[in-house]
Order: sequence, then structure tokens, then C-alpha cells
Amino acid sequence: MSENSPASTNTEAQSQRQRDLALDAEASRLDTHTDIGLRETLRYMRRAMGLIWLFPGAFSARAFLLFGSLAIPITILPWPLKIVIDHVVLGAPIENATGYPFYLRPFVEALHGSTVPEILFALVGLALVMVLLFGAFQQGGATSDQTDAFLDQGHDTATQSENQANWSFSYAGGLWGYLDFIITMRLTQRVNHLLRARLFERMQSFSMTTLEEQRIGDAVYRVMYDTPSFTYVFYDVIFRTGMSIVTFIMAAFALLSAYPTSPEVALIAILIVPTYFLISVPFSRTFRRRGQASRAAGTVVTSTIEEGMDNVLAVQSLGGNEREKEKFATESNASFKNYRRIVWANLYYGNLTEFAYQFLRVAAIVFVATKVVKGELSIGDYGVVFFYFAFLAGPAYFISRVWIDMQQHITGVRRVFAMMDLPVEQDQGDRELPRIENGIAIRDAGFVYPDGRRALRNISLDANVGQIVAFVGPTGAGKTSLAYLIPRFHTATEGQVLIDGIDVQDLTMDSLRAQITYVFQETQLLADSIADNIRFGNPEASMEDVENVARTAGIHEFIISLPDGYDTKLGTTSSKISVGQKQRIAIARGLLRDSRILILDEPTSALDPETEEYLVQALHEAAKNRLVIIIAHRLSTIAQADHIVFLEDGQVGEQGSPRELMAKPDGSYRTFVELQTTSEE
Amino acid sequence: MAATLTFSLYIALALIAMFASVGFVLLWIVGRRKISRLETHERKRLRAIPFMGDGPIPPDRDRAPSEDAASFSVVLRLFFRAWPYIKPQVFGRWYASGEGLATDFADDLRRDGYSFWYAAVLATAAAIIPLVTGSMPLSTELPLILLYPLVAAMVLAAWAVTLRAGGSQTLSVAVLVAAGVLANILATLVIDGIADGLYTAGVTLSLMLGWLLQVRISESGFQFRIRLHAHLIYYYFVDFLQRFINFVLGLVMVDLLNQTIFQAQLLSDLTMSLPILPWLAESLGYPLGAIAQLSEAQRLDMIWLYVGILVGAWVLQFPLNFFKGIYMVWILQRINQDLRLALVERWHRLSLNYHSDHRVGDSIYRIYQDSAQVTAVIQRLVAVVQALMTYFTCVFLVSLLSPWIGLIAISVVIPGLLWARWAMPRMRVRSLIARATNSDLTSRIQEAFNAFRIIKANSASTRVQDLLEQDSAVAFNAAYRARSIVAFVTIIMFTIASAFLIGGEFTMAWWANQSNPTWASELMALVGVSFVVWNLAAFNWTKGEFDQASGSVRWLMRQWLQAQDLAMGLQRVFNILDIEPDIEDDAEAVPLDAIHDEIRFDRVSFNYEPGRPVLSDVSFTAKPGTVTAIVGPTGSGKTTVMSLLLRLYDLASGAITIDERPINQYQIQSLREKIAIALQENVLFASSVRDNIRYVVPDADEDAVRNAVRVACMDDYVDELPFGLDTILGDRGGKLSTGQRQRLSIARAVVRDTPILILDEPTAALDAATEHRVMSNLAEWGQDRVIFLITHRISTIRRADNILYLDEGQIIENGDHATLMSIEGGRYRAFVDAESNLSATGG
Repeated sequence: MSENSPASTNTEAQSQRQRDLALDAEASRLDTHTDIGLRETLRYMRRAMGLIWLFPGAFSARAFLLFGSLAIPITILPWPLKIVIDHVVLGAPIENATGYPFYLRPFVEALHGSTVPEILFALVGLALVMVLLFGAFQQGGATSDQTDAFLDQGHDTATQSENQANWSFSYAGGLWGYLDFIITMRLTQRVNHLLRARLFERMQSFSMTTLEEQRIGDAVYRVMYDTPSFTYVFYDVIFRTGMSIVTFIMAAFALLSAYPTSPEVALIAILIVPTYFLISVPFSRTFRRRGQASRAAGTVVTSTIEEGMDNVLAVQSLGGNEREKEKFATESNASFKNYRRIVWANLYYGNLTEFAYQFLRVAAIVFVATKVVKGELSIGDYGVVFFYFAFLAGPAYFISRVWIDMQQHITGVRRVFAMMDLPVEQDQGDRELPRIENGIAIRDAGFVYPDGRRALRNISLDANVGQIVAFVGPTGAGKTSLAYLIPRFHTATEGQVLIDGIDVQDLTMDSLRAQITYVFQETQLLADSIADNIRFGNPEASMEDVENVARTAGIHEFIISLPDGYDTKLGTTSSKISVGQKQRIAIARGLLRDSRILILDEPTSALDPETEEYLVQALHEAAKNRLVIIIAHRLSTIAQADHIVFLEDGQVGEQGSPRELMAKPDGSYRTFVELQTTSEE
Repeated sequence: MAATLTFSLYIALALIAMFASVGFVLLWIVGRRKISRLETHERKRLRAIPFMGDGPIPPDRDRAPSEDAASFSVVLRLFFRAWPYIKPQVFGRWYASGEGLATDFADDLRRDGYSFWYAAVLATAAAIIPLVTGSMPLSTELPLILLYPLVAAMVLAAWAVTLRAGGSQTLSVAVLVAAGVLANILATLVIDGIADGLYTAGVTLSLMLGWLLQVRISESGFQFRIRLHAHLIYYYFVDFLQRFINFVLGLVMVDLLNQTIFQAQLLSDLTMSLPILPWLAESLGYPLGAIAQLSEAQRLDMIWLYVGILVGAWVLQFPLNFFKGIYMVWILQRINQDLRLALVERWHRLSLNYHSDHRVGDSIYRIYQDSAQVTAVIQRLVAVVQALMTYFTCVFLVSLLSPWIGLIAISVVIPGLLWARWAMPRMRVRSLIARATNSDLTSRIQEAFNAFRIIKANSASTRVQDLLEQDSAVAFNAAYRARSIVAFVTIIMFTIASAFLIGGEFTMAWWANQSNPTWASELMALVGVSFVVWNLAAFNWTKGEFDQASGSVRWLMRQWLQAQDLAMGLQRVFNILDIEPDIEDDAEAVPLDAIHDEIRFDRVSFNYEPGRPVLSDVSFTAKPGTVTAIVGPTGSGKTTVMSLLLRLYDLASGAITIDERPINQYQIQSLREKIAIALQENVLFASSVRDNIRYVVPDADEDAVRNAVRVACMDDYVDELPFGLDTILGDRGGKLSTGQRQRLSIARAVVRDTPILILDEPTAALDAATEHRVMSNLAEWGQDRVIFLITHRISTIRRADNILYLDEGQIIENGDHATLMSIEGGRYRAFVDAESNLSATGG
């Protein structure tokens, strides 16, 4: 199979492939093995089609309506015009109904001997009924309607997703067409909704390490722009193929019934299928790869916009405006270019098949026109036979395009499944954690990142409810990694983390995390009101509780000084609130959750001494019926701890009460403290 | 054979019916079972969107048609607002000999002495010479006599455009274009023979040359300039030519098939007037001239002629179609790219105030989906104009055969207009809702992935999932409403148009049956078709025209519906472009080169929202070589002071001057280039460590990077990363600890090598030893720079040359450590005491 276009040389193709792979790598850090072959394509198709089991009602309704929208007009529409031309315009009397299909013979025979106005009257009646029901009274042009609602779209893959996610089309107009249209659109939307929900759920439950690697733009792209590819898979495979075959047979049937002497036209039309298919096979790989590249390039652009907008404060303060713009310009251009590569392939393929079609059509013209000249067919017949040829060619064309179009949709499907197939954080056990009574015990625990860097080794410690435990140590010593082991944000690669004697591995995630609150070092607010931000971990909390924790965190005064108070909406990039204030809102959020274990990661780094002192006192209060774990550098904060775990290079250097540790003459903790106090004095 | 085929078709149909019914039964049985086995939340998803019909949209996101703020004229205005982004593809850019390609687009007709007088001369020559030499006949007969004044008008207008300027020039251009179009249509379609066509084309082409190529004669000799990159013009010129040829060819082909092949009559005069056909016919042995009836053999031969022309035309157009397809996409993408860039640029120039309450997903949606609509502006306009032209041409032509049928065709417009009045406001409102709700959905996803840590830590996944599903369902419901109205409106329009069409068509059939005479057969001859009585050809022809007229009304409705959606998309784009950045370069702004003397804050006041002062009367100075520490309680405005120096916001009152010149008189870009900042929130970008360090100075060399790494004490951990400086960081720098990020952010500031350095809580997450090293390195590195330091750490503060103690937006105390410590009961002293006391308990 050709790597690229048939014209390009092998080396060019190689480097293009390398460029595509580099693009894939930039687009996603998780989904790195992006090649798809024939086997994968078929497997993904099968999996995507499995969705139809969940929509039997809509699916059979759609099938029925689609069948009707094709079969009914096709069997009726061409004939009234034949009557008009042969018997009205040319004025030949209706003698027998041999030139008509069997189901219309009663109608034609009923007109037998009628005057011209009577014929016209009957035809007008028929036409009006057909218009109301099917939106068509003759075939083609302005005399038959089709129902669609495609809106304008852009010229890259992402901007075409809206039309895909809401895809619908009916071959008929009128009442039937409208029904067909709305049921189909709802079916498309329902499938897409299900997929979005599933994909989002799946990605949300990736482990922390996985999510840290995930680019947000990529996540947005997959959920919004890749999922719509799915419906196409079964629309194409089932509806398009099935209905094409049925219409083909119907048309052939009607044609043969009316013109038993010219089966050749049907044969010529059916030749289209193998011809197109032969042309399309060498293209499939090209289409697949270009589709992938286009989506990858789109992802990169999305990530750039997302990153730039989300960090607008940084971009503006660092003077990165121009750079962000240039980066966006380059990437957006690359995305457009990758889309053009698809357009190019489509045009190339489209023109080749068009060429084949023209030859077959010419053959049909010669064949039919000769019969007309020889008087074997009437002039009216020419129109009918040709109408059927076009009608036969349509389905044949569709069937032969199924495979090639599938290649483009499968790239989106693959991107969705690639995420669905990644491992998620799973409950490894099914034990529910009862209310924590004692505390945590860590035994010989270690942690190695997926990329092989070791963060922790041989950690053993005990921490009990009622204590404040501080994790102390130089930057990069593994304090946060250690704290992550407790709520299983990271799963210990060796050793055990026990809560009340139960290994966290044996617990369900929900019951574990319900009793642990983690306040992160990098404070992050949600685009919501301040009250809702504080309530995030405990949405049922009363306003009174919210205000109480806000007071404890020392932020209440500030909040009520705002014009909208607790209802002040925050943006994700809100710059009206200082980092210290954000930090205190995050602490309030943690306190409100009222869980048995509270982990605070550098809670006081951005606080001034007074606020800090206030907060530390509050924590003492909180620690009465909780286990509070604090990660901190500030001696003032650490000093309040009952137990200190001093970490160095991923190992526990020392642990004990501050007094015990300070008592060791050359202890690392003591050295650490002395360094800080000397530099401060 | 046919019987066998029919039989096998029966079998096939029966088989298909069987398979289909088995399939459906299976679908229901297996499907039901699968659904019943699903978990409840999955079943809820299946039911979230109704089987058919509208779904709920929450009232706060819904709008009634009466809330439609746009109107016909607003939509049109939005279309024309897109013009600046389309314009470059229309006018192109000048390529001047010796100067190369200009950077700005060529919307000028004349400039820098370039002129196109030669085109007027050429056109005059092309208009007169053929008449003199006799290659173009002078005649007073009806169609021909119309051509001369049109050509004359073209030539005169060309001279007027060459010689005049201003408004009269625009008028002349309009006259020129109108006369040109009319003359060409007349010459090619109406008048027999080839000479007049060539004549008109000659004049037209010489005038178009003037638009493309201009000359000047200056001291440096003869120079010329060519209009390049006028892509839309190139495209539509080729496209028009192709359509025109196909249109003429189509007329001939119908004639050939219906009259000659099927009915054994001669080709019409029009067909014979094309020079190539008689030649073709003759070489095929087709008798030209007097013979009225053709033999069967001749007719069979003619089939091959028909086929030959068909295939030939197609083969000739094959490369053109290919090229046109990709060319148009390329042009439209360029237009889209320009608008996207304008949006992104404006976005980044908007002050932080704007961004504070804006959702990121909304930006993504506007940049992608809304701005993409600009690519359809041209197509929509062209389609609407085409539909209108087709409609009126068809109505006119039909009226020539029968004014009654013409009347029927024209009266379709009345119900059409009424229907549009009902439909369009609804379409606009629904389109806006659909866009807004999809924007919300995008934001929801972005925010969820941005906040994944908090979500996990608070076990909030289920809630976030519910919110996403709600948003998704609402977005689908909104999209459904916008799209179903398109379907509904077009179906009704079709039904209305069909009623008229059926009436007209059957009347014509009756007339044809009666062989009634047509109305204005002489006038019809002008168009090249001679139908004296209603016959099959007249019926087919009129039916075709009438079909087209009725079809274009429906098409127009469809296009206009689509245009409403397009306009609403554009509106959302222009809403952003309309926001004037409140911080912009002054007209007389100068670049800031270096800081020689001092930075002075003079009674600076500032507030984010009126009535809530953040800073008041802040005054201080900072000189190169000094370190200024800004200290104070959380929320006292420390960071804001620095944001003002960066001009992220403009002041409420007072002034910030650098070397005596207010900073708003410096160019913003140059100002920010002189200031490096290490932010409190350590933002990292998803690229390599090296690229993160060089974020603003992408061309920084290896030495500079290495030096920055050393100053920021990053060496120890960089060496441990799997690929060192080339390690790719995840979004928001997931792989690094906060202390590591903080140092990276310092390195990023250092590598910029700027005269001003701001460190905003740079060392909060560093342990004492590391902090000590970083600070000493910085002190050494920053000897002749202005350094600002925001921190709580006493050890760092005490080294500062000047300490500003800030509380509630005011400078309470100001001086060096010793001075401030000597103030009895001073705030700074209390602050230091508090910090040391706390530390002392630790020690």
C-alpha cells in the first residue's frame, strides 16, 4: 500500500511519516502508539458498532424511516412525469399500462380513456399528496426535497465536529422527512452524549500521574471533537451499506419490471461498485494517516489556546504575548495544512472515481440513446431509464465509498478508544473504610514514577488521630510524594500504607478519600462563586459552616469586604485575588470537609506571620479529633507539630517530636533548623 | 436474461427482508437485555436526550425570540464587518520591480506614480481597430447595435478611472464593471457568431490587465508592479469562466440530444454559431445546411459526437477541478487564520480585568467554532446573489413564453417573505443559545481537567460528571432546536413553492397538449431558443426554468437561515474584537531602551473595582544596583504594585516614571521586555525544561541557559531528570515539585537578562539552604539591576537596600532593615518579631 501519495518518493514519505509521528507525540503524552493497521481498524469498527445495541428503538425507527424515504419516492416519482410527457404534452392516448411497473398499473389503467384535463387533475392530486407526505412530486431539481440542517463549518477537523455531532439527513422532505430528520438527529446526539459522558468519566478516573501527563487541550479535543466520529461508523456500515443495497435492488427491480428488454443498464450501474472499490483500496492508509495527523495538529492548537488563556497572567507578565501569538499562528497554520492534506487526498480519489463514473455513464448514454434512435424506447423512456441509472449509481457510489470514509472516521474513534483503554485508578479492594479511629501506619513503602525515577524508599512511620504530624525536608525530598500515598493519589510500588490496620489497596477509593482531605500546594480555584469554591468538597454544608471555616482560615473579613461577598464569581484565572487569599480559600475548603485526616501541603508559604500564627492555632483546634499532616518549611509552622518526619532523598532521615529531634547533636533536622535560624537572625 | 435477473432480485429482496427482520428482532432482544444490565448512571445517560422533540434548556440559558437583538440589517452589517479579513485575498499585494512583494495589501488603484493608463489606451485600440479593419462588423441590426454603446461605455469609464480620483473614480469603476458584464453576456449569449465575442473579450481583457499590472516611468527608468495574491479574484475568474463555458456547452448538448438525436432535426442556430461544432460535425460526416431530416445512421453517429463532447469537456476540466478544490480551501483557511490571529492577539492584549471573569473554554470555542464562520461569508453571499440572479433570470425567461406562468413564479416570493419574517429571529436566537451552551460545555471540560487534583481530593468526580452530563444534554438540546428549525422552515418553504410549481407545470402541460402559441417568440429568439408554439422542447425548457426559479426561492431561504447562524457566530467573534484594550500604546510612546537613573512611584493609587481601593498614595523610588523588598500582610497589595510597573493595569491616579518619563509613554512591549518576573504562581508550559526557561527569549544560547540554571540552583535536579534540560514537562509542569518549579521560574527570569527583576515570593517553597544559595547567586548576578522582592522571609528581606512595608494598600514604613527596626512600635518591627518568635519556638 502506498505510504503517501503514489507520486511521492519513498524518502519524502518517510520524512512525512516521521513528522506525523512527532506531531502525535506533541499532541498527547499518553497516547503514543498511534499506528493503526487493518486489524485495528476492523476491531475499532466492531467496538464502535456495539453501541447500537443500546438504542434499539431509535435505531429501528431510523431504519424504517430511511427505508421509506428512499423506497416510496423511488417507486413512484419518475412515472407521473412520463404520463405528462407521453400522454399530455405529446398527446398520445393512454392505451395500456405495459410501460409501467406493476404497482402503478391500476392507477394508469384507471386513467385509461380519460380526457387530458382529467389526467392532469389526477396527477395534480397525486403530486400534492406526495409533496405533503414526502416533499417530492417528481425526481430531481426543485421538484424533490431533502431534509438536512448542516450549518456552515470551517476548514479543519475540529470545526467540522459540530455538524458531525448533530448529524442528520433525510432523503425525503414533507412529514416523513421531518420525522426521519428529527429522530436521526436525536439518535446521533444520544450516541454522542453517551460517549462523551463515558469518555469524560473514564479520563477523570485516570491516576494522578496519568492526569499530570495529559494535556488539557487534548482532553477537550477528544471529548468534543473526536467522539462525533462514532456515529458515522455505524451509520456508514449499517445504514449506508444496507440502504444502498436495498435501493439498488428496488431500482433495478422497478427498471426491469418496466423495461424487461434492457437489463444492461442495471448491469452497467452495478459495475460501479467493484470499479470504485479497486480505486479506493490503495488510498485507505493515506486517508487514515492524514486523518490522524489532522487531529493531532488540531489538538496541539487547542492545547496552545488553552494554555495561553489559562495562564494569561503569566503570559502578560512575562511579556509572552507575541510569542504566544506566533506559536498559535504556526500551529494553527500547521493544522490547516494537515487538513489540506486530507482535502488533497479526497480530491485525488474523488476525481479518479469520477473519471470511472463518467466512463460508465457514457456507456449507458450510448446504450440508451441508440435504443431511442432505433425506436425501441420512447423519448420519455430515455428520461426514466436515465433517472434509474442515476438512482442506481448513487447507492453503488455510496457503498464503494464506505471503506474510504471509514478510514477518516476511524482516526477519531481510535483516539477515543485509546483513552478508554488506558488503565484507570481502580478499586483494587472492595472493603469500605469504617470511620478512622486510630491513624496511619506506613510500612517499608516506596514509590517509583512510571518513567523510572524513584521518589521514595523504605518509608515507615506512624501517625495517629489527635496528632499534628509534619513532613519536613529539603525541596525535592519526596514530601508531597509521601503524602500522596495516603489517599492513594499514588499507589505505593512497594510496602504498605495502612489505615487503622487496613491496607489502602484493599479499600474502595470512595470510602478512602471520603475521610481524607488534601489541600494542595498550588492552590486552584474553580470558576464558581467563593461560597461554592469553599463548599466544593461538602456541597451540603450550611452557609454558617462556610463562614465559620472562612473565619478559621482568616479570609472571612476579606470576603465580606467584596461587593458580592460570598457570591463573588471567580474566574479560573482570577487576578483580583492574591495568592495568599487563594491559599486561604483552599484551606477553608479543606476544613469544611470535616474529614478524619487533613493533609496540608505547604499551607502557609504565602501567608504573613500573623495570619500564619492564627492559622496554626486553628489547626491545633482542628487536630483534636483529626489527624493533621502538614508539609512545611517554615519553622514556625513545623514547631507546632507533635511529630516530625524528616525526609531526605526519599527516605526518612529522622522522626520524632521536635524536642527529641533537636536533642540529637548532629541530627539532620537540627542542622536544617539551625541553618534556617542562623540565616534569619 | 431479464427474467433471470428479475428472479434473482426477488430472491435477494426476500433474503434482505429476512435478514432485516431477524436483525431487528435480535436488536430488540439483545438490546433490551444489554440495557437492563447497565448500571443506573449509564441508563440515565441513555435517557438524557429525548427520543425525538425538544429537550429542556434551563431558563437562565434560554432566550425567547423576542430577545433577538439582531435584524436583517444587523446580519448584513456583520457580513460586511468580515470584509477586512477577506479583503487581503481580494486585492492581493503589489509586487514591484526592484522592490519585491509589498507587505500591505493593495487596495489602492494608483499610488507612488504607478498608473495603468496603458490599459485605457489598449482598450481604446481594441475597441476601434477591429471596426476599422472590418474584422468586427458595424451593423445597425437589433442585438448588435446594443453592443457598441456598452463597449464605448467601458472604454470611457476606463479613461475616467485612469484620470480622475476620489468619488467619481469609484463611480467610474462601477460603470466599468456593469458595462463589462453586460457586454460580455450580450456578445456571447445573445449575438450570433464568434467575432463579437472575441471583440468584447479583447476590450475586457485589456482593461483587466490594467488592474493586474501597472507601470511608472521615473528617474530610475521604467518600472512595473504586478498584483499578486489576489486569490479570490483569480479563483472566481477561473470559476466564472468554467461555469460560463459549461453553461453554453449545456445548451448545445440539450439541443443536440433532444432535437437532433431524438427527433432528427437540425441543430439550432445557436449551436451552429459555435465555430468548433460545424467543424466537428463536418468531420463526422454530418451534413450541414439545408437537409431537414437526418437518417437513422446519421443520428447514431451523432450519439458519438454527443459522447465525445461530454467526455472531452470532462477530461479537460479534470485538472482544473482538482486544483480549484484545494485552492478554495487554502484561501478560506487563510481568511480564517487571519481572523483567528486577530482574536488571539486581541485576547492577549486585553487587560487581566477582562480575563478574570472569563472562561477559557469560551475562548477555545470562539477561536475555533465561531471564527470559522468567516470562511462561509463569501460562499453565502455568492450563493445568495446567484440564487437571486437565477431566480430573476428564470422568471424573466419564463415570462417570455407566458406572462401568466411568470406571474405565478414571481408570487412565490410573497409567502416566502412572510415565512422568513417569522423564521429568522427564531433562528438567530436559537443559534446564539446553541453557541453559548456549547461554549459552556467546552469550558466545563477544560475546567474539570484543569482542576483534576481538587476534584480527586474532594471525591467530587460524580458531581463534576453530573455537571458535564447536564451541560452536554443542554448543548445537544440547544443544537437540536437550532437545527430542527432549519429543517422545519425549509420543508414548509418547499411545500409552498411546490404548490406554485405544480400549478404552473400542469398548466404548461395543458398548453403543450393544445399546441398553444407562446407569447413572445421573437424575443425568445434573442436568447437563442425559438419556441413558437408549446411543444415538448418548450415544455421541457420552461419546466426547467420554472423549476430553477422555484428551487432558488427554497435555496435562498436555506442559505439565509444558514446566514443567520453564521452572523451569530461572527457576532460572538466581533464582540471580543470590539472590546478596546484598556491598556494600549500611546500615540507618542517611545521604546524603553535602558534604565539610567531611577524608577519612581509617585502617589500611585489603584483599584480593580470602583470604590474598593487596592493601593493608595504609594510613593517610592528604586535605582539600579539596589534591592527593594516589599513586605506586608497577605492581600495588602504587594503583587499589585508590581503588576502596575508591568502595566498590566493602568493607574487610577498618580504616576509611575522611569527616568522621569511616565511608563504609559513607553511602548508596552518594550517596557515588559525590560522587566523579568518570577511569579508567585509558577506557571510552566507543556514543553521541554529548556524551552520553559527560554519562554520569552527563544533564541537564548546554551551558555545563557546554563548560567540561568546555575543562578537558580537548578543543576541538582535537572541532572536527575530523564533527559536533563530536554525533558518534556506535562501541562502545568506536572513532573516537578513546587520548589523545583519555583527555581525554574527564577531561571526563566534570569535568562532574560533584563535591567529590572521582580521576584514575587520566589522562595516560599524552598528550604532554607537552597533559598540561601539562590539568594546569594541572585545578589551577585543582579549587581547593576533594579531588583524587587516580595517575600515574608526575614532572612531575605533584611539584605534589601530599601524595605517598603505595605498594609491595606498604603506604605506604612519605608527604609532599610536597621532604620525600620529602630522605630519603636513600628509595624515592620512587629512583623519581624512575630516571625522570629514563631521561629524561635521552632528552635
